[in-house]
Amino acid sequence: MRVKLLGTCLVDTFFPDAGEAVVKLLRYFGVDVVYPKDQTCCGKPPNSAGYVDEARHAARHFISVFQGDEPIVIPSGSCASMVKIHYPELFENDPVMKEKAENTARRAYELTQFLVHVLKAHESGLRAQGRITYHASCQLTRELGVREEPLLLLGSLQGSEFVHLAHADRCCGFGGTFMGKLPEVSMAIADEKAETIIRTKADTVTGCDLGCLMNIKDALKRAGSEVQVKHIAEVIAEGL
Amino acid sequence: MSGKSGLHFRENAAQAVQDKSLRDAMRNSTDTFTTKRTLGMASLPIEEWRDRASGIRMKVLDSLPDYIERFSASAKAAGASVHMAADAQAAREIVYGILRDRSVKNIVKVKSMVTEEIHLNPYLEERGMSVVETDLGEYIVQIAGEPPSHILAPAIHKNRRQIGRLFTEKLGVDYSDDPVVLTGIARRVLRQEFLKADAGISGANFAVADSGSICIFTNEGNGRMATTLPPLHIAVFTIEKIIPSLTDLPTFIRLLPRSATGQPLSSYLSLIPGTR
Repeated sequence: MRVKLLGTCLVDTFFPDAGEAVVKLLRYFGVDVVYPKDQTCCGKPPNSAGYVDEARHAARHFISVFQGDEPIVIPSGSCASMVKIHYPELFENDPVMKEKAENTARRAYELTQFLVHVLKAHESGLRAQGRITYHASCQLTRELGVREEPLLLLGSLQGSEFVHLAHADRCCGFGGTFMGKLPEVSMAIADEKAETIIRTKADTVTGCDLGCLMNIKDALKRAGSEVQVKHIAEVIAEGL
Repeated sequence: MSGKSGLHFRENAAQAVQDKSLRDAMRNSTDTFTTKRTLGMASLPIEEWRDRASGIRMKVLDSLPDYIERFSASAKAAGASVHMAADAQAAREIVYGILRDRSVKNIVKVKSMVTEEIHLNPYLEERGMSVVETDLGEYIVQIAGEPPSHILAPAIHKNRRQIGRLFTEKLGVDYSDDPVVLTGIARRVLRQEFLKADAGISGANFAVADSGSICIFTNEGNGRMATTLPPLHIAVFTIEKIIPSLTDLPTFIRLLPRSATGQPLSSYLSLIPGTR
């Protein structure tokens, strides 16, 4: 099976290790991973900030770069929700583009959706180590409706212990541009998230969105915590 | 929550996040709300109801002028007077005009966010009228001189010890931080306000186009008191509150209290059709 991979801006800029983990994981399942070189941002930040024309510009580029029949794998809940939910909305008044956007949306999978529904990775005897807890990010759960998939994967990891995080689906304070607009409130929310993570006595916190994980990592550092912060692909890939 | 201008949101918020008792009170209340809501929604076809409610809302918004006409005609047929306000200033002037023409001095209010947004209370107070909020949480923030901090729980930012000290200071009663005692004090004070009021002002959770009635959900009975006891009732609401028919109401009755507080139904559900 061949897939096209969206690297995402945060992987490209800050977390290349998470991107390598995604590729390693997909290859483990025999997937041929194509990384379109001229890919750019999916347009999520301008769309959330109300710059719909700029978002539409990015979406046209994405749709053209990722055209084809292969599934598109996106290791980010917020980028995946942009492609799957918002792309078709952006071309509501353009029937030709709308059809292309819907085709792209149908082929797009958030990483854990692809791992569970296509690869059945949660039934493959995957392994990990230590005590792991999980932050359920906002757009992943509320927009995309991905609630069970990460839990199925994490619950299936032999050799590790999954610990539930209290209010796991409460915002981490990142909220995209919110963090830039109201940093004091954003940090206060992140500090509460860090407190609940520390209380689980987990040694690793994971999630499906690097934006949240970046914010959480910062808050844990402020709290002097040793808890490791890893994308779900890294947690799984380390055990392969 | 300092009660400072909302126009300095970032500064106010940055200061508020440093307030530990405020953060604790907010966290406790939010956790309670979230838990109750989750329990209230469990094993019910909530998504189906939400889709139906959303469909009703969209239908109204698509032909809003028609529905405003229909509501106005039905409400007038039921004996009410209907006034249209283009903006906040127009709304304040209309309300004040009605009250002034009837020589109203004392007003009791039911919790209403739109009257908060248009700053109705200070406008009326500056013109010599007494305005008393009768929802317990609204009453607490009113005597504290603060704006409400939450649409359902206006005093969510205050704990019972702070409220106890506030009552001692403002009402001259002995200190207590027992919620039952504090509620009893507010009840006695507010009872006198209800009895002497010349007018009641409420909002509306829904306005029903085919019957001309407005619908209010409350938990304390103050909504029914304020809309039935005084000789005049003014309901201030925004046009998107209109729903087509009484047959659409059950969908919203199922959703609103569950979504807000986790209750299957609020303690009081008042349907007020025109004059009595």
